[in-house]
Order: sequence, then C-alpha cells, then structure tokens
Amino acid sequence: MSTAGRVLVVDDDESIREFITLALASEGYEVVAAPHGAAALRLVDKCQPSLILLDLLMPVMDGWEFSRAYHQTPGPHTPIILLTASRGAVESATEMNAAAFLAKPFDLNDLLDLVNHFANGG
Amino acid sequence: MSTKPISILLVEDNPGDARLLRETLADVGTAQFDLVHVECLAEAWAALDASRFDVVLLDLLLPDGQGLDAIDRLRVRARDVPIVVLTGIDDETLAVGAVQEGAQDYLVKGHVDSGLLVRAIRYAIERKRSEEARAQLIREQAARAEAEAAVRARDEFLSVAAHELKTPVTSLRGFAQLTVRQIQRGETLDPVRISRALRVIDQQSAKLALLLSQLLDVSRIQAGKLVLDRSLVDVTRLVEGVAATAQAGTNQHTIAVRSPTPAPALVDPLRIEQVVTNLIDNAIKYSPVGGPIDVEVSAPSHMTVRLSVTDRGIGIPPEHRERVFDRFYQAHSDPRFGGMGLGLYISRHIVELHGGRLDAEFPPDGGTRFVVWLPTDGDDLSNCHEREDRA
Repeated sequence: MSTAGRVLVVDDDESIREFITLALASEGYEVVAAPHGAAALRLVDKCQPSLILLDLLMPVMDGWEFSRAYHQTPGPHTPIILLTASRGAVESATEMNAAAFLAKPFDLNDLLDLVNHFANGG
Repeated sequence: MSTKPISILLVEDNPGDARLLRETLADVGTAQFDLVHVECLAEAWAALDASRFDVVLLDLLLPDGQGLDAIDRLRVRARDVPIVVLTGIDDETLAVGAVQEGAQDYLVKGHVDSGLLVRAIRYAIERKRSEEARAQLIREQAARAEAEAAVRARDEFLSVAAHELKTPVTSLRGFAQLTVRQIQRGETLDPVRISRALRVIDQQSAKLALLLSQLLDVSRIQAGKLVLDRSLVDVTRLVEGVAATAQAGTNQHTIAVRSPTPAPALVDPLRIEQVVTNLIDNAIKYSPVGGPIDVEVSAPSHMTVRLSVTDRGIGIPPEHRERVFDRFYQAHSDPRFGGMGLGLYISRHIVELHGGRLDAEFPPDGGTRFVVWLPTDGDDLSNCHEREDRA
C-alpha cells in the first residue's frame, strides 16, 4: 500500500492523539501514533510515514531528542510539524529545521491544511 | 569646598590630653572646627543624642569603656559618624583592631601634629561618606535583584500554568471541531463516536476546571486572601464521602476507611474535603499498579482530629522529601502523572490556616503516608496541650 498518506502522530496526551487520529483518518490518511520520542523512532523506521506531527514535552524521550536522533539516521527525512504548547515554539522549530509549527491549542482546520500541504508534497 | 565648620566630638577623660588637642586644632584655625569635649562614653551618648557630629575623636582608655569595646559601642550608637581613635598606647595590634572594628583611622597621642590631625579628620569623613554611598548602592542593587526575582518567579508561574492549561484545551477544541466537521459534512452520525467525543470534552473540561481552581487558590494564598468558612463537621463522615467518590473512579485500588468514632471539628468542610480529595487522589495516582489505600480518622483527644492516608505506591525518593509541599514541585516529573504540582502546596496551606499540620511519612515497607492534624475548635494546635492540662 502506498505510504503517501501515512502520518505519524507523537504526543504524550492520549486525548490529543485520539482526536488527531480520528480527524486525519476521516480525511483519508493512515495514522500511526506514539506517546513519546523513543516509541516514535521505532515506528518511523517500521512505517516510513510521509509526515510527522511532533509534540515537544514528553516523558522518556522529548521532541528535541527525537528530532536529533531522527536526523542522525540515514536520510531522506520526513518533514516534521511541531505541535506545541511550549514557549519558544519558533526557536525550536528553526533549531530542528521543522517544516512548520502549530501552537496549541490550535484550530483543527489549520492542522488539516498543514497536513494536506506537507503530506502530499512530501 | 565646604565652608561649614567641621563639628568634632572629643571623648577624652584626661584634661591634659584634651587641652593639647584643642591647641593642636587651634593652630590650624579655629573657624574650621567646632569642638565639643566630653569625658566618658555616657556623656558621649548624651551629646550624640543632642546634635549631629561630623566626626568623633575617641580615646581608648575611658572610665566607662576601654579599647575595642568602646569603638564597638560607639559604632552601634552612632552608626553613620566616622571615628578616629586617639590613644596613648603605641600598639600595632590595637591599631589594626581599631580599624577592623570600624574606626576610620588611628592616631597616637604625642605623635600627632596639627597637619596630621586635620588630614586624619578630613580623610575619615570622606572615607565614611564613600563607604555609606557604596553600602546604599549595594542595598539598592539587592532590592532590585529581589524585585526582578519576584517578577521572574511570577512569569515562570504564569508560563507553567499556561502550558498546563493549553493541553486540555487542545483536545477540548479538537473533539468539538471534529464533531462539528462530521455534522457539517453530512456524514452518517455515529452515536458511539459522538458520545465518545462529548465524554472527552467533559473530562477535559473537568480537568481544566480543576487546574484553574488550583491556580486561583495559589493566587489567593500568595495574596493572603484564602479565607475559611467554618462550621461544625463530622470529619469521619466527610472523609467517608470523599473515599466513596474516589473509589467509584477506580477498580484497581481498594480504599478502606477506618474510623472508630465520630470526629467532630470546627472546620471549613469544602476546604477540608479539598485536602482529603487531594491526598486520596495522589495515593491513587502514585499507585499505578493499584493496591490498598488506607484512610484512618481518629480523635486522639477531644481537642484534635487525626487523619492519615497511606498508600503502597511508588513512594517519594528521599532527595525529594523535603520539597514535596513546594509550589509546582513534583517528585516524579513524568508528565504521565499530570497536574501541576500544586495540590500539596494548597493542602498544607489550608490545613495550616485551620491551625493544624500536614506531614508526610515514609513507611519502611514502601509507599507514602500523609498525616493531617486538626484542632477541633479552631484554636492553634500548640495551645491544645495547655488546655488539655487544664481540662
């Protein structure tokens, strides 16, 4: 099956993972979810998503560490969109070369627009 | 250059030495100095109370004060007046001691001419002035640093609070917008999915409400505005109610309440309920694999009520135990456990407002026990022993 429409959602909050998964699924995307960076690293290898939605503050391995570890693996690398409630979202996004960022709490329509743009282009 | 005469207080009990000094100053020109002469420390205090002096010339051998002790007392008495010590003792050690003790300079009688005396006086005054200016600057810097630290703490508080509030709001919005989209697109509405969405909205709203209420409490506590509304309450009944509610929310834990007798006390029922809820919720939260939670209520005397909540959970690491009641402190910073680390801070404050105590104990076989002591009639607990003796 083509992976053009596969999105990896990484967030430690269960409710957030749930509504993002449901929203993207209803748009026709295939969604995989991880509660922290370490689980995400395992999944990214297995599933080859075309887009990653990444939270920053998570236990076990946070968003910064995930991004560092991910970019050390051999490329090419899937675009990452940061979803974060943290201050300094712009700096973090620039630092880890994220494709975009969305500040929580975000409008679902904005999220879907971004996903449509990057998942299909990627 | 100031034209006002320099006012000098001379504390010298030897009339010969005093006259010699007057004459030495006169050589320079009497217009420059106003000299007041006293013969002991007691008279010096009276003179200092009566008027302002630019400098004190102090003999170290006085009938009511000797050596460095005299300097010490004078400095305490007249904090901002420079001291030049005049003495007949030719002693290096005493010289250094005098300056360390706070004298600006040290002159040996019989080795002082008018030029040296005047210079010593002028330099002493200048040195004191610049010392005071520097001390003032340091005080201002300290005050500014303190104000900045307070602003930083407040900003950090707001920042942590904002972050914690944004998470439940994110899924609140998310599920609401998701459901609206489904309806707008004319999709077949699945009642299971809709009720799931609404349930999450409800849960997250409740979580948000709790966080907001905690933030408001902390804000009131900081402003000293948390107020108690006391009434006569059976603490046993109150605790049983909280335990029942908590038990309904978990089937992995067994909450057992042991309370041999009623425990009436004059307390704020809503606030004490808040404390008990916090303690039991923590016990549940920090026993992730379930287990027993033991709650005990007793009245060890008619003046006090004791309440304890014991869990066999993951406990608190020794290095965190001192700080577990601090604002924002979380012994396990794993976000899995949620919250902002404010519950215990608020609980302790509520208990202390009642005149009681809230402490944490660590049973040797693991887990944690929180113990609350409450006075029954609103008096401070420390008065209880006294009253028991009298009763």
